[in-house]
Amino acid sequence: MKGNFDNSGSLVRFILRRERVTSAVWILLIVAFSVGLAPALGGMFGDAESKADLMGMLENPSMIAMVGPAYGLESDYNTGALYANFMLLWVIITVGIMNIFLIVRHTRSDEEKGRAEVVRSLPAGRLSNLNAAMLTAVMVNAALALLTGFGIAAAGVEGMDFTGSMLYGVALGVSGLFFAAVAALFCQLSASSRGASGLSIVTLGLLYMMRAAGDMNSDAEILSWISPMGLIQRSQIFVENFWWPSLVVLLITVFVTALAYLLNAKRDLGQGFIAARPGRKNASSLLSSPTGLAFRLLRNSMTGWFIGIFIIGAAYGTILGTEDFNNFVETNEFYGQLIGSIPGFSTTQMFVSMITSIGAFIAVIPALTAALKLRGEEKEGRAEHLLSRSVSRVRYLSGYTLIAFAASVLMQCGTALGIYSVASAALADTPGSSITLGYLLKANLVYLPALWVMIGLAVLMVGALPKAAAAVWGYYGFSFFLMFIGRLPDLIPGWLQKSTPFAFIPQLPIEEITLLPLAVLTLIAAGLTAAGLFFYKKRDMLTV
Amino acid sequence: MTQTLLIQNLTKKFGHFTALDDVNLQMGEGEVFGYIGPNGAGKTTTIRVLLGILQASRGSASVFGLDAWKDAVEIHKRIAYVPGDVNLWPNLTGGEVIDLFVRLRQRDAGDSRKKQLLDMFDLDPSKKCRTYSKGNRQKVALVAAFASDADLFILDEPTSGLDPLMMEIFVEQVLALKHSGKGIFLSSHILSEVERLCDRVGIIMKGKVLQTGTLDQLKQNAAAADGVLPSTMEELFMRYYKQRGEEEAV
Repeated sequence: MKGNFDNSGSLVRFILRRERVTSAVWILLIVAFSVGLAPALGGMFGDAESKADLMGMLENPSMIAMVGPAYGLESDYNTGALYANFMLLWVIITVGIMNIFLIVRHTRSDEEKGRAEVVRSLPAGRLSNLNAAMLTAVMVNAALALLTGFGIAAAGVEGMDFTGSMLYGVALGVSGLFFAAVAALFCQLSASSRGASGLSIVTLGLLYMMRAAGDMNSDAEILSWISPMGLIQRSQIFVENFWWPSLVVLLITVFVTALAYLLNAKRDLGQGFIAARPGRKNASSLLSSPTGLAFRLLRNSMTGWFIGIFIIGAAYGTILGTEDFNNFVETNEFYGQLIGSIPGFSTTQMFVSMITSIGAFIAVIPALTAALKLRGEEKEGRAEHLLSRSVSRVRYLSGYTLIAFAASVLMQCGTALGIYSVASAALADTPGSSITLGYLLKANLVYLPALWVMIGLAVLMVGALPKAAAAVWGYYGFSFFLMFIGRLPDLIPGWLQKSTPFAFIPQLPIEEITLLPLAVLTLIAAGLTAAGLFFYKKRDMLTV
Repeated sequence: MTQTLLIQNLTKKFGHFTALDDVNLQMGEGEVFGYIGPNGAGKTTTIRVLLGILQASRGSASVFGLDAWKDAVEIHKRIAYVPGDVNLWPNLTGGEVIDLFVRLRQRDAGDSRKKQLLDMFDLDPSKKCRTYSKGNRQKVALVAAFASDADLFILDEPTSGLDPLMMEIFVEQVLALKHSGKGIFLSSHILSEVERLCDRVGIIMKGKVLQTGTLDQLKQNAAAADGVLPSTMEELFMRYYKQRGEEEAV
């Protein structure tokens, strides 16, 4: 086949033009996060005793499962080794997701929407689009690698030399490119963009778990060597600085990319190698009411959020209650201040209070997503299918609202169960620990009235100001800012601090549960929801 | 005779834009009414007001003698609607959507009727909606509408994505409904279709209804105005269209 790659260059410029905001934001955030945390992690080393506690904590199996094995513990353990140990895997996951979305967006998505067809009708080669997307990924990852490498080196933290910094950047870039290739492969196999990104992300998760299994059990360490995520960790950045793992991952990437190109050249436009399963010919009995439909539409994303929140809870749970953790926080000034300490309360209790507030803020996202889906359906012109049948506005709106409220309860339980699932064993050993499942549930569920106010606000916006409904996310960001910056005293005036419902939630165990503010918040939430319904009934349905 | 549909002095404004300007329409029981006009004339807006999805700025719209806005749900129990731009849920199959639509009206999904219609329109119900073309999405809406036991069918450019063969099946289905005494409100660009199916026709341009009446009446009106009797619907429509353009120019 002649000219398979024709015009790839112009397509790269075209993709870069479409990508100039999205990819730039991703890169900037990742670089800022990576560079910004380098000096901050230095603060984790206090005195020698604190350092020993920290090193003990990193040898804990659950910790190794989360972030991987720690290198350099036996010799002079420094900030660089700690940084690479803590950060590398998680940043790779982020970079991986960035790359998967990048590739799917410019190949399978374009194909699905019929845009690739227009490009193919021009004098562009059969492989030009995929090739251009991969070349763009090379540029994006190279930029990320160089900016991160030079950025960390420039931060000049003790123990983080130039070679190590550059290797860290390169390891990120190479891993990113690997996931771009994985996504390119799944874009050939699956015929839908959802399928392609889903399978790629599942692969990412499996490779992560594979290395967790290998890292925890020395008999199965081969698993860590096979998983590119485990392999790249064995670069021992800032300790030994091995470059060859990056080279091996790059070779695997070239191989996977070649496979994707081969499959792309063989298949028809719009088709995939995994045959689309025929779906249901008839609807299940669930799909016979507007609420049933809303449930069906939100089921998968809500399940995903629940699992995600459970895992986040479990991730925090792994460090809870270990003896090293308690000692570490108690002796380390920096962390002691961040988490806070109040006489009469254990470090674990203080830490739980911090986790629950973070968990509550994450749980708001699915709850708001469910409530705002109402507006999304209207905008897409799908609400009128129901409203033109014998479905009243009240019935239609209440379906989504009910699911939003139910999701808030479910997600809050998810955080509690997540923490408990991992921490229960550790906590049982802690003498005098008052952290039971009941306690965790109480500490999380107490946030519900604040979540409900957020849902009520979303419903009110959808009812009264549908075109500006997304502004609820702005208020969410504002609340988040207040609650976490607000922890630093004297920075924000008191009245402003009280302008978010979260400010009125008692933080267990430091504060007692007082019913009045919770009851008032619940009433406000009910009022906002009712007002939203009132306006929703009176207004035109808008498809813009 | 009771009016299936009655629109009186209906005006609908979106901000400063007047989408419908003092519209008057009526439709008797068991009548097939054709609603024609160029893009953006206000056909879909009229239908949305009839469905209670938009609220009238002035005037009134009623269906089966009930207020289109206040009694929307009661009215919808007896009507079936096919939108002009059928947007469906990408991750549900066509079969699931049809069942949902039918069940929202009546308890019994009427499986045999559904199967018959699926065969007729040659639609595979096991495919996800994201894979359907415009014509196939329209078929989903048509099957759901024809499978339901309604008294009034409101169809907004229902055949714009269908091939000639499917259009023929559509016409047959509408004629069958007509013979069983159902009311049909058909907005369309396909003038030959309107000519074959409709008892009475309304022409709307730029938010104003210019003429309503039987086809013969409309042709006679046009002949009275400039002495030439239009032979087809097309000719009649083009004449109004030009006339309107000239008025605008003056």
